[in-house]
Amino acid sequence: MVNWMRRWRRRLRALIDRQTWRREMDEEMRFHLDMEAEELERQGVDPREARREARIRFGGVERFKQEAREARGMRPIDDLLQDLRYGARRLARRPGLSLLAIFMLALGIGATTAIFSLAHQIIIEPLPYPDDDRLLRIYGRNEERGWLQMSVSAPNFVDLRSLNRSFESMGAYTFGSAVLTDLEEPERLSAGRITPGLFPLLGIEPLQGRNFLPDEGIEGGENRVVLVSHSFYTQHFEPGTRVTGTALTLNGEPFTVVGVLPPGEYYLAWNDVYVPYVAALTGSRGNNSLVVTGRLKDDVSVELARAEMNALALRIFEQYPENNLMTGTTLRSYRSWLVGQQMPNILLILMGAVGFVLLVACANLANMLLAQAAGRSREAAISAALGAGRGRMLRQMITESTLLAVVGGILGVFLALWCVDLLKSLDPGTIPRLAQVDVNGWVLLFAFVLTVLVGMVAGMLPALQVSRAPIAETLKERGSAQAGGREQSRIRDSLVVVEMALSITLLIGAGLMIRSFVQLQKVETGFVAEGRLVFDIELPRSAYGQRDALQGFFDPLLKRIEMLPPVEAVGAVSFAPMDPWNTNMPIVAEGQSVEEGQRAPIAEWRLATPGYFHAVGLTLLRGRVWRDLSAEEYGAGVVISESLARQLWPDQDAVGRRVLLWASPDRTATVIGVVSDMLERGLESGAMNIVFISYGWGLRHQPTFVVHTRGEPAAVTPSIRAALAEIDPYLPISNVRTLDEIVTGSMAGRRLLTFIFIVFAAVALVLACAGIYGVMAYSVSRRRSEMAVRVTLGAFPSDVVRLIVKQGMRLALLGAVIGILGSLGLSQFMRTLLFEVTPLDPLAWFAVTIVLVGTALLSCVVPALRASRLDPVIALREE
Amino acid sequence: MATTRTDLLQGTLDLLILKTLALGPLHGWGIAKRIQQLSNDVLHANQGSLYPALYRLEDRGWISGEWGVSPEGRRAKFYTLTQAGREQLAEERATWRLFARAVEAILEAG
Repeated sequence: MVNWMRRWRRRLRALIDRQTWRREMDEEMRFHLDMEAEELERQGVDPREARREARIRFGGVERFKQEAREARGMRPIDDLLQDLRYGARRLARRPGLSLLAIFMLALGIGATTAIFSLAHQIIIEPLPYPDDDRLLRIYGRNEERGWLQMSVSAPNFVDLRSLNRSFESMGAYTFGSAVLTDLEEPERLSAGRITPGLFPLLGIEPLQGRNFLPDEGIEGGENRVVLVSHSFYTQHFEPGTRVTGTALTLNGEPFTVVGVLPPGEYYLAWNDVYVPYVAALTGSRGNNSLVVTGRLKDDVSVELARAEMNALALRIFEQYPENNLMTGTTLRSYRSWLVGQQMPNILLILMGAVGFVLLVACANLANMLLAQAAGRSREAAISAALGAGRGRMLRQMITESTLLAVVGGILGVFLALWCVDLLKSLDPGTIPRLAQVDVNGWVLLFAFVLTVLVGMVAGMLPALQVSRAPIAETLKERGSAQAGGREQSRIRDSLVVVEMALSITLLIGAGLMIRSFVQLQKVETGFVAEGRLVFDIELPRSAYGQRDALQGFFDPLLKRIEMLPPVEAVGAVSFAPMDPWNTNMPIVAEGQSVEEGQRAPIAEWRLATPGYFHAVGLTLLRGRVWRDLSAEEYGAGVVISESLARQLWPDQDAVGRRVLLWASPDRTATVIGVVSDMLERGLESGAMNIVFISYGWGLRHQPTFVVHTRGEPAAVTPSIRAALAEIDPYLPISNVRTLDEIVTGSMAGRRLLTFIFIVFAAVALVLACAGIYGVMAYSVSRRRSEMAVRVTLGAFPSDVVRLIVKQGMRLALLGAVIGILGSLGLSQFMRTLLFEVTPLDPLAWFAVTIVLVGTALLSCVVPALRASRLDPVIALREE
Repeated sequence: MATTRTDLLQGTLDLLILKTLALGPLHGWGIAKRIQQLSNDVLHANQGSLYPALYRLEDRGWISGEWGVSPEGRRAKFYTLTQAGREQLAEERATWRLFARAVEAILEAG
């Protein structure tokens, strides 16, 4: 062992200090020769003759030096260093080509690494919770009504938590907001509400202070405690201050800070502050609002838990059927809930796409090296004739391509870093965990393996080509005339075909995404987005808990805003248009029953003021809307959307008919009006059935205001603030935006994805065209004399152009056909990403083919024109 | 002289070097001379081939080389047998004896 270490230390020293080692070896041998010669002289031999004899006795000095080096076990390292030096020299001799190759590789490796870093974070990296695979999101389920993933009502949650045996613990979370009035201006905070058990179950520990105590989550306990998020802490306090025990006024009530949360994702980023959620058995079992999390016991499988929870839910339902909608449960892994079901799919598609880009870059590099290798086959043949080993030559060429790949790979990692930053700045919040994405050890390892692989693969083809070439043939072959052999040009041609095929596949992907995007923009929203200002106002429960107070707030505010000069109309609604909130309820027409096994129609519900319809640009088709927010008008009935009216009473007038809201006989209402349809949950979800209920109901629900103005919507904001201050100076206006921004924002995710696809396709296309250009230019340069002879014999320049373009386009078209055939299958994978476009959309496919053929044509024409302008005399003289 | 030159069997050179150094440290030329003397000039090796062998033995850790000054007052690299080398010598000597006896037996039988 020690011996072994000493040996390697010696080798290492010899390697690092090669000069000294060599000098010592020289000196040692010289000493030997001197001694031998001196001895011969002493025996009476003439000095010159003595020296000669000594050399003869010694044998070939260089040979023994080489052998001595090998005896040291340094041969592989020696060879590698030599290969590297030689390779670097060769590459430096053609800086342009080498830089181009490095640039291509950096692009390919960089893009692939960037996408991998995303995929790694989103698909592989565990969630920031210990044993995250034991965490489950628990939903309510109602098979009969087709609701598979419902939130859970508080009484149902309490029962599930206390009766189950599968889970170690369960916690619940729900959204909320609060107004902070300790500052100069009132500030609206997002205030999540959690049961005290939730954070301990997730392993979230406050940086300062403590989590909520069990007592703080029960009725009658000390509930006025608050956990503040790290961002809230840094915004409102000096770093380092202890804030536990500090008092905060939320919604007019005093709260005590008990802890500061660490920075992080999900819960830690979702809300400004957290307050305890008091889960009580009282209250409606139909008020499904809790996001329930459970941690499975170690010895319980998901299947077992599912069976138990389903039985439990059914038992609870049978015991408390009133208003209860939960007849079963759905258990979902925490990862799939937090990351989303679509995301891994999108990432795999992107990985595939970027892999294609890399393959094109790889093929291009192989092609370039092959062209160089052609010029080198004579050199290689000479070396081989002189006894150089095939393996050594092969290794030399692969060393060269790997050298290129390594430089490209290093640049690629930097490019990946930049891409990730770019993505972070472009992403509208559609990519989960993006903030946590970085180029970490795994990503670097990936980039390294990728780089070596690329270098090997790209170098292998030309290397085999050169080392296989028959020596005698190559030496006899007149290098310039024969374009480096027939087989070689066949390989280069097939590489170009492959590049073209890969690019058209990517182009088709991009084409389909673009078509989807165009389709999306054609979607009829049903409302008018231009000139609409949107903002939220948080109404604290303490001041606006009563119906009268609510009306006393809405009436004067709406009136004041309406009187502002540029305002055409104003209204309030419980959820802004396109808000992705799920507020659906089953609805049945009175007198109609839902047949066994059939589902009741589903409709979204919205609270609205009478002015809302006009403000968003809906048309009143039949009947009327409420006159005001009074209780009598609320009692008059509801306004429904056109599609719902048609669904409930086909061919009949809906006005005057009665419906059962939430399919409940206790909540009947008369339809007083029918308005045109509008999109409610994003452009891709289609028009929804909507039931509008008057805000006069008295339900305190944070209103969103929509103001229709002439001119720039944002310009009216100050006057609205002033109007609000006159009514209640403690109310903040938050989330000021325009309806246009909401619509544009809802497309942001798709826009980003489309953009990425276009970039990938464009890069692949440019690389492929560079490839076809390279092959054509090379072929033209090799066929100069042939062209010259043709021209001399009377061919027109146009004939020459046609000849070359034909040759190039044959490759491009062959590639296109192969790519199109391959895409027939591959495009099916994109189905989930497309909107109102089939994977075989003829327009996209046709346009893409035109683009590819056009650019390929361009890449062939340039070298062809150059060939046609050849002076035959000069060209022939070169021979 | 040329007639007495005998190519050393592969591996035999290692044994001879180790044996030579067992008597005391020597430089490369000294080893060559000593082998020549001890073998009564029969083994007149291709002297240079000594050096790859020396480096190999050094790499294995059987001998160790160190620069010193020769009796003639010149800088020279002296080789010493290490403990591992001593053990190796004993082993190779035994192997060689076995081999030589076997060859001898075959020749006698003829």
